[in-house]
Amino acid sequence: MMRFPIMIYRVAQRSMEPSIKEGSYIVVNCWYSKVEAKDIVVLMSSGMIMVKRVGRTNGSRVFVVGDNRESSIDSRQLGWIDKKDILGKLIMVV
Amino acid sequence: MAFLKYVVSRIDRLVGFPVAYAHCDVPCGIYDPHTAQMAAHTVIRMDMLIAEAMKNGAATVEDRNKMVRCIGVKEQHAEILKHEIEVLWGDYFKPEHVKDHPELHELVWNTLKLAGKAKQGTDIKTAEDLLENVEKIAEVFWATKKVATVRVKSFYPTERTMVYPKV
Repeated sequence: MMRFPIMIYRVAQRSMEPSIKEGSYIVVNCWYSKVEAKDIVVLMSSGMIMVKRVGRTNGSRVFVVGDNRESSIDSRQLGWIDKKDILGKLIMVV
Repeated sequence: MAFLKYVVSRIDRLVGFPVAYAHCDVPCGIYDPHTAQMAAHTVIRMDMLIAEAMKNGAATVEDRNKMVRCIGVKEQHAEILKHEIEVLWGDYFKPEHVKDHPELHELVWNTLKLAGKAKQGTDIKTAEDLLENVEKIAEVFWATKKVATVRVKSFYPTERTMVYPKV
């Protein structure tokens, strides 16, 4: 599927606080070359667009977590995410 | 940066940017096993009242009416209990909690089964076992928050115990 090189998303909910506050906008690079641990990524999981931080990578998969661990639903519940489900990598928070 | 956000938000109003969910299931962090314990006490109490109504064979219309109402309330509160435990299990407890309390999954599973069994019958022993399990879950819950607990006799007519955090 054709993707724009840059996308802007509005962030709902608070599991990425304090890095990304609810209601912030994030500018995302959709033509990223590689994903590494500590990168913040936008991904598609269970039909939902989510923003999470990469904890670990393992070949074609990543383990993502929310910065606000107490209230985050992430790979701890959802399991490993395929890299092909990553829509983009965070460039900046507005 | 504030100006940039203002500009972006104005554009958002016009074009509607997609939403990326940080995904937390209501990030309030407010969980408490108290409601589940109250529901377990209600189930016990309803079994007690049903037994009372049956003492004379539920011969009068009033007795039958009371019994039917008690069955309804028992059903409802067993469902509340299941919901409350499921929320704790699904939303609050995390893998690290299970690591520290490996009995948790089986405890929750048995509790949900017991709640179903309590709905099916009127055996007080089943309801007591249900309360015991819910109290154990309450103790695990507070242990994950590093809060000590105490089991004390409740002020309810059931005269069974409740688990409270020591504050």
